[in-house]
Amino acid sequence: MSISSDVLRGHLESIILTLINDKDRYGYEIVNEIKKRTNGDYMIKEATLYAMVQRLEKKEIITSYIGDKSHGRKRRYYKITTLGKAYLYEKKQEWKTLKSLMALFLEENDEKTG
Amino acid sequence: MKRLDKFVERLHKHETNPENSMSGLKQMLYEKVDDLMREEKLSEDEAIDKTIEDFGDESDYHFQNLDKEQKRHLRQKTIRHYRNDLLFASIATLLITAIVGTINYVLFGDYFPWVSIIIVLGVMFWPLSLLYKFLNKKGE
Repeated sequence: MSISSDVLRGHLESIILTLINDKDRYGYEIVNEIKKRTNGDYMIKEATLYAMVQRLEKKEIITSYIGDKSHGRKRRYYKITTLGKAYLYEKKQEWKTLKSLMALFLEENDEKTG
Repeated sequence: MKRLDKFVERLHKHETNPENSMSGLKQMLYEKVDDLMREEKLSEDEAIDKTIEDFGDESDYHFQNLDKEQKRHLRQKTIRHYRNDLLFASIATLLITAIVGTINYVLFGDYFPWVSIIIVLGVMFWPLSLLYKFLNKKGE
């Protein structure tokens, strides 16, 4: 089932930060990783990604550096900062609260209807 | 890669200081072209085409770069623009109706103005379509 982009838009920041938190990544790698992990159900456009990483860099949540030359050209890698890690932790807590809140309504409803 | 450079420059043509933003975006798109050429065995031209095609909506890119206040301002400006279009179309339709009515009266006198009605009905779709667009934009 494909995912509505509007639903995910609010959580895109957390998704990108989680991927960068795993390891430093370059732009297209982030796009591909999202596509791979969602089995192609959700694809982020470069327009969206670039606007978002710019905003995160401005807020000093992530930082970027030019990596070693690989496959012809030097790549710009994005790295999470200490502030970013704290921000991601907050986002995760927020998500847990939201998830349990939604489960309270939707899963209860499932039991009644199912 | 000149085509890609031009694409990015066109995206930033209205910005006062685009250098920083442009170089970062160019870098990201070059990386994608390189990966497409290596992983999917595309030619450089094909990879550039795919990169530009996949980039996403230009207005979406600009909209996401703005902060809340700028977004609100831009929205108000767009709605004002649609309202002006609607006003212009309505006045023009009234003028056309008056002119056609006069011509009809001069040429055909007291006969029922079928020709005028058909022309005016056609012209009325202009402000009506703009009204539809205006209300849709306002409702977004």
